[in-house]
Amino acid sequence: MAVADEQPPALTKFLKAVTTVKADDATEILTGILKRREIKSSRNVAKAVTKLLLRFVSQNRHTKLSESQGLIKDVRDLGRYLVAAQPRELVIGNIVRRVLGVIREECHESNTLPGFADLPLGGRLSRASSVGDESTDLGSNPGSGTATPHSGRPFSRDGVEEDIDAMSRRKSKAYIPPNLRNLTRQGSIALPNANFGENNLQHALFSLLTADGIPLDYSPKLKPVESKEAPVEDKDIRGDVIEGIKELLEELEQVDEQVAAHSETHIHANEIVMVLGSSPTLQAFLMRAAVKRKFTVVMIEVYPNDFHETQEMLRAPSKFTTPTGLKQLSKNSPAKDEPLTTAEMKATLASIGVESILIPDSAVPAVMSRVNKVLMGSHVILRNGSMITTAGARNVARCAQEHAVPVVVVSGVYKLSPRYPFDPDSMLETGESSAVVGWADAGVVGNAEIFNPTMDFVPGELVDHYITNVGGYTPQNLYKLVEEQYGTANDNLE
Amino acid sequence: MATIATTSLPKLELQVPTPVDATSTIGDASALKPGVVQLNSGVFDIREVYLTHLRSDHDLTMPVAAIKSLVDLVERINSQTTAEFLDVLNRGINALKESIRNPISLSAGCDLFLRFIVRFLRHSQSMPKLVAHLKQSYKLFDSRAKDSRKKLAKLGSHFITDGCTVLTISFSRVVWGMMMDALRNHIRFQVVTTEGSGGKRLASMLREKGVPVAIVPEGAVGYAMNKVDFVLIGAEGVVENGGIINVLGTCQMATLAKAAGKSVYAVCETHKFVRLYPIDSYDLPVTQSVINFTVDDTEEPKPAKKDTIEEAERIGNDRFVDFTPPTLLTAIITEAGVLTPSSVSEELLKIWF
Repeated sequence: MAVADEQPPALTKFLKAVTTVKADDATEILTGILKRREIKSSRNVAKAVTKLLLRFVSQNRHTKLSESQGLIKDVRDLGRYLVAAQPRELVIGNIVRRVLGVIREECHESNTLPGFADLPLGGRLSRASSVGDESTDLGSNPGSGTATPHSGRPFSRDGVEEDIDAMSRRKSKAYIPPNLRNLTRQGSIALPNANFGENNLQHALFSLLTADGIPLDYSPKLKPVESKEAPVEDKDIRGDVIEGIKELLEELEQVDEQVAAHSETHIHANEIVMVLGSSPTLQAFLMRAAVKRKFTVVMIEVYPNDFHETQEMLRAPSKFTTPTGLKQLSKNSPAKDEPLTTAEMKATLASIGVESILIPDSAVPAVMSRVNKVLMGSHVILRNGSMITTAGARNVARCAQEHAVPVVVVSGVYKLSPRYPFDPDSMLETGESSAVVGWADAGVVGNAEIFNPTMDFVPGELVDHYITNVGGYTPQNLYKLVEEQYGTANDNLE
Repeated sequence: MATIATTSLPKLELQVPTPVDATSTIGDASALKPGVVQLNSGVFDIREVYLTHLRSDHDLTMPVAAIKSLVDLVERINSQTTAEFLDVLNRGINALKESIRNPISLSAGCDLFLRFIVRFLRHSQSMPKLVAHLKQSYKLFDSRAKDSRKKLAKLGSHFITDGCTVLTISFSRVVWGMMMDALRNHIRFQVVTTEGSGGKRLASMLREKGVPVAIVPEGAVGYAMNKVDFVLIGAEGVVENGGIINVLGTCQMATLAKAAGKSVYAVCETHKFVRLYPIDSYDLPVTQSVINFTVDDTEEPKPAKKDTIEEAERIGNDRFVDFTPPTLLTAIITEAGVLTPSSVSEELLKIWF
């Protein structure tokens, strides 16, 4: 989880600049900010990158459908440039891939014959949506069914065919968990194309037998028109792509609320919940739960990176904020969309009647036996179910495992990276060591090496559940969400 | 399988086979030797064809050899109906499976082939088209299988990092490919391998390339475990619950690795995914007498029947296998990506059912 910046002035400056300067200049500003690590929380990075991409696409010379490959290439190159500026910030890659997904989707949509989308769905669509509605399984609340109209953007690997299920889902504007879609997919109606709905693994399985020249779709009329060469159908896709990116921005704004919608099913009355970190998502989650539930929060101090904020909190409890969307809870303070520090968070919780206990990091094992649940945020989630988050999290997760306490992670789906952690250590960051021991303390500084890692790698085995804005997932099932979000296109940005 | 397939086929020309055919098939079947299928036009020794394929190309995997033999069979079927076609195909598959001692790996190819044909026919493709398609792609099977191994090696070699020590068991072509890929990327690593079933071959091949290799006896796996960074094993087959079937000793290696907190990566091409759901090693459709109780001190356990030693080693007939449950595996590396055992399980169930 991002160690919250008190105020990221660099971000404010960039967001101001990005609307006025040229995209190239904005890119330079952002890479500078990223290289200097002036924005730390992954939310802020995501926001900045999305804004930049919005600017970039709207100024790009490729606007027509026929030029979409050029646009994809340009965006990918920009993505590589940004990722190279801060390779440890995996969120950059996530956002770029999402935008690439938006562009591809627009291409396919425009490329398909009119009426094709309505063709084979019939009963399957209605069946699928009804099952989807019943099944808002883990976060069974009315919000989750309709929360994510644009969460899934699947597209096929070769860039020609459109996934019917994706279309059906967009049409129904309801999120259907992928596993249920797959169950219903087997149903009554034969698909016109055997490759439809096929994922990477299935494709790989049958690739041995399927000739490249002869795809399994037999009916030529279902193939998209070759409009890439036909100037008649060459339509302007820029507007649609910009629309898609704006939706992504909206999603970033709404993430907290959508995740918080699951809180009631995860936090029960009189529970003791241990909380690590201070991400706005986590805070919104607790705040929403507090509306209906009476529970106790055990806050971990997260020394040394949130240490001073905690001290400040003890001295001046007046400074508090509430997350967006929960304004009704706070009477006297305006909503601010900035990440909160641990100190601010505790103050807010106390102000709405949640019993809060603050413990030092070293007391985690001592308290763990009394805790019902551990909640934490994340910086980045990786496709194999592991995650990168605040330093100290692995300790807490391991301790929870020892006491058989479930570890629940709340996070926006934009933090889910399709990358596999071949070398997790290379993804971790180290902060300034003066936070641990000040430079003035020559007695220590001269005699010891001081190290302040800001991040921790938590393997998937230690996490029990991920709650995202598109529903709950176990670490083992995250791969499905990755497929859902990024499709099977393989964009190598690293 | 056949019944399910035929009922769901859209364009069925249902013709009852002529009585002459039926009687001749039944009449001759009893006299046939294992691995021979009776066709309208004569007999087809699928076992021999399969073994010939394996002998002619040492790089060929068993599932691909099985698929090639089945295509050979399909070319000889001159039936007009889908039902008869599938019947002969099923008989061919059964004959092949029954005639080979350890049919796990080849049955992966057979199931994949059958599934492909059912999918192909379900989408209203006619039979002549199917046969034409198979004939056309016949020559490509080898190269595609090799391509997937290459892709797999490239993907998997990321796991081998500079300065690491890898523990492996026996000789696996995919593991070898991964190591070669890592070597090409100038990665320095060392390997610990067990001495049995091809381990020595791997060691000498790796040493030739300048990789330091330690050969340890099977009993020293637990001893060596703390000196290695992770375990990398090939697989004869990946089953539906996400576990793997591999040479005897894999399960204990994975258990020891789990106990020591080391990652276990299984490496396998997707065409080795088998339609089996074993709970433990005794559920495998292999006859192998690993545990022999006896009071006779002089009686030595008989080695498994083998054709020739070299051939048997390649075909995998001489070696015992065991089943490693999915809970012991960290990930399964395939050309479709690095998958968790549970995701493999789910995807496989989705394909077959």
